[in-house]
Amino acid sequence: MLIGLAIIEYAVSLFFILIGYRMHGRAPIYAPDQGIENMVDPLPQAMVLTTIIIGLAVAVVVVSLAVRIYEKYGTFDITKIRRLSG
Amino acid sequence: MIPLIFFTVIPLFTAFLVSLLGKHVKRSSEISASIATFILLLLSLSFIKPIAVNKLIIYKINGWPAPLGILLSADGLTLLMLITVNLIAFLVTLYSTSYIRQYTDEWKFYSLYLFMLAGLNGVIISADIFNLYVFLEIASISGYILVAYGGQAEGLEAAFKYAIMGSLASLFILLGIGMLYSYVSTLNMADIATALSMKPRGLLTGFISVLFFAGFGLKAALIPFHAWLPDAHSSAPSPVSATLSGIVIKTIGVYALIRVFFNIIGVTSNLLLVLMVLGIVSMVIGAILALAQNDIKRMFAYSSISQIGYIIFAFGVGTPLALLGGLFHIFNHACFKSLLFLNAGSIERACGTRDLRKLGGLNSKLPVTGITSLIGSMSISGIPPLAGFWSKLLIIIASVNAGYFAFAFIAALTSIITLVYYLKFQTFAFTGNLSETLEDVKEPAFSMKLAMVILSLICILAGVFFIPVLKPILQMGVEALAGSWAR
Repeated sequence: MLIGLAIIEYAVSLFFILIGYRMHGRAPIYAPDQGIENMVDPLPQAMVLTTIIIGLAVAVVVVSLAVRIYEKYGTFDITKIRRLSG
Repeated sequence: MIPLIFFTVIPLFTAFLVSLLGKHVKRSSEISASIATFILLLLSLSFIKPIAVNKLIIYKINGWPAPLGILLSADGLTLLMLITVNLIAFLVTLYSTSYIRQYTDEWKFYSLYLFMLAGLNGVIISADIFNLYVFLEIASISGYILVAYGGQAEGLEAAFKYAIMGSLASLFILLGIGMLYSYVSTLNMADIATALSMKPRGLLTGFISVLFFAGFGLKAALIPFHAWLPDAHSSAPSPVSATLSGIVIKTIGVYALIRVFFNIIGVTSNLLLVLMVLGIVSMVIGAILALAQNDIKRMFAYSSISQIGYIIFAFGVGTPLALLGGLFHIFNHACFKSLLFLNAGSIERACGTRDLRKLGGLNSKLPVTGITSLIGSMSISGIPPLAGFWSKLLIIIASVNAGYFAFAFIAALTSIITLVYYLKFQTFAFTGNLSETLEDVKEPAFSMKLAMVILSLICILAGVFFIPVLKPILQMGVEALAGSWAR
């Protein structure tokens, strides 16, 4: 489950990179000898950075929860972790 | 006037302060948390007048203008949500000052709680859709940890479920934001609305709607997405359940949903129909499942699903009267559901159990809890003249006016089921014979009683003074929802 969550997150991050990508683009830095055509969109890159940080926070929380659950239940098998039902 | 950004700055700064001092200075954390939430409440009340005059207040972070910088904005709907959130947050903090003492490391609780509050306020005031996502994640992540705060096996299991479902929901929302951005090339909500209205509604808009619907629906625990809610809300410590149930699912679920659909993407008749049907389904199934529960907090959690169904149904009907009823029900549900969870907390604290079959005759031992929970139960099941009656009446009248007679009938019927399971709660817990194991139970501490009494007074006063005091605020919220978001 944890790995699945991480994969989904990376997929979404890659999607963001794809949005910002432009064929033969260059870094969005103003230089005196170049116009503003053909720049890649910098905003999705900033968003991906934020997303990765948030993903890290989620991963830390979920993994530490999983470790604590292992201490209590003695298993990682989610079919056996079901004290709550109904 | 005080800038809007203080709604997130104050709780973030206090959370930092609490984690810095809390370990060393005894009781500093609860005092600073109470003061901070009280200031936030006053701050949100101070915005009533400026918003009534100006309709829309915009704060530019660092003074950058709209398409480049990040904006915060406040309108009528924002105002209503800010007042609700900060009111409940203050009262719950007041309650926690004595409740949380049974756990170790209290300062961690207050720190996380304030982070969650910062996230909630941020979601409400944000006018930038990616910013909304970031704040939403702040609120959710601190929510996951708070559910596990007790450290028992049940809490951990529930928190794990909540964390997986919640992160999935966030990723749906993020994917939706990404697609929206690639379509309109802007993140500012008003700009998105303008850009979308100029383009034809293609398949992409539909797909984005579905993504947002799944994401925010998961956060709001609508019925096909509800599986995490009863576990998380019943296993968390009571102040946390009161906050989660009272304001978190409404802010990051319902508020974000209606903001995105009514103000940004724009509603269509299909979407309204989906909202209405899901609302009805949540309402009925939540109520029936609540009827079968013996654990007090689980019953309240299912009841939350049912009441969220009412709110979503009201927005699905979509007439101004229904929107008014829906917004009023948001406020009411925040008050009485927090009250009931706090009652459940004090029962659990006093008797050591939440099982209705083991309780009984508590009225003689816990009079304050008994009376306040009676008021809360009556309000939620819609007994006049309490607040819950008016909001349900408005919703039902609005749906009759709009011609949905069958749905109005089901809503009225669900209200009766609600009455039945709250009567079950009252009968089993507070009347009848006191069992021998409960002979020496005592009323909770003063601050817990104070929080419960204030909340029950709000339930009564909101019902009696609905027209003069609350209606103008709610009306501003309806205007904000119904109007287009052009700047």
